[in-house]
Amino acid sequence: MKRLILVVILLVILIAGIIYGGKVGDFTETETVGSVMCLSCMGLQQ
Amino acid sequence: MNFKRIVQFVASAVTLGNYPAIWRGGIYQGPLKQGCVPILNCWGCPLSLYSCPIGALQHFFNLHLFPFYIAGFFGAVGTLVGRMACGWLCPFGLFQDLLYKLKGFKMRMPKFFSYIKYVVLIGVAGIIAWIVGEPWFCKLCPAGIIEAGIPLVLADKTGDIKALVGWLFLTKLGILILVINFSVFIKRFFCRAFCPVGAIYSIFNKFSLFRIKINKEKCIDCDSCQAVCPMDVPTHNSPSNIDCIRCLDCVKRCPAKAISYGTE
Repeated sequence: MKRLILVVILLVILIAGIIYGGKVGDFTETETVGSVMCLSCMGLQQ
Repeated sequence: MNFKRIVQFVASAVTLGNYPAIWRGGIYQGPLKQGCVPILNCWGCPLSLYSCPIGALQHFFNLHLFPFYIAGFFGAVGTLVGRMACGWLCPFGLFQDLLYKLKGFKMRMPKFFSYIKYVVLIGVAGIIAWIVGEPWFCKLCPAGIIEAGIPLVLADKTGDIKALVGWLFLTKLGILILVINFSVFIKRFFCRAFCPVGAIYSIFNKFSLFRIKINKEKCIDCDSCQAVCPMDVPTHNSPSNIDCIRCLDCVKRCPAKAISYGTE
C-alpha cells in the first residue's frame, strides 16, 4: 500500500511535468523538430 | 505465433503507419508528431507517425532546455511498467528477436556490456548533445539508418540524397551491420548493451507498479526462465533485473509456476 501511494505521488508529479512541458511549448517544439527531415541525423552530410 | 509477437507486429505497424509515404515520399508532418512513442523510433523515417523520445530529449539538450515533457513521459511510463515497452512495442527489438531465431552459433553477452547503455545515455545522448548542440546518438543510431537513412537513399530518384552519402552514413551503416551480426549470436544485443531508451526505463524496473514476482518455495532453479528470456535474464534470481523487459515469456515457460506478475 505504501509503495502504491508513492507510485501515485510520483505519477502525479511526472504528469504535472508533462502538462507544464506542454504549457511552455514542448509539444509544439517536438512536432516542429519531428517534422523536419534532418539529413545529418540520418548520417547524410550536407 | 504467440500473443506477444502479434502485439509486437501490430505495434510496429501502428508506429510506422505513414503508408502514403511509400508512394508520395517525404516524412509525416502533423500533430501526431507531438506525441512520442515509448520506444526507439526514428522520427526521420518516412513511415513514422510519432516522435522519438530519445531524439526529442537530445533536441531539448541541444537547446540547453530542461525537457519537462520528455522527462515526465519517460518517468510516467517507467513508473507504471518499467521496461515493458521494450518487450512488447519496439520494432527494433522485434527485429533483433527475429534475427536471434536464425539458426547458428549462439553465445552469452558478458555482463558488463549491460552497463554500456548508461554511458551511451549520459555520455552521447546527454553530455555530448548538450555541449556540441547536435543529436549525436541519432547520428550513430542503427534503428535510424534502417528505418530512415537506407529507405531515403534507396527511394532517391534525383540523386540529390545519394550525393550526401559520406563517412558518417558509412559509419552508421557499419554500426548497423555489427548490430545485425551480433544479434544473430546474442539475444537482443543492442537493447541490452547500447539502447539509451532501455537504459532510462531500466532504472524504474526496481520500483515500477507492474512487476514480476517469484515464489521461492515453488522455484526449482531449473533456469528455464533464463533460457526462454529474450534478454537472457535469470528471472528466478533477479525479477527486477535492469534488463527485464516484462515480456512474460518466463511466466508462461516456468514448469513450477513459480513466476507471476502483478502490482504488489
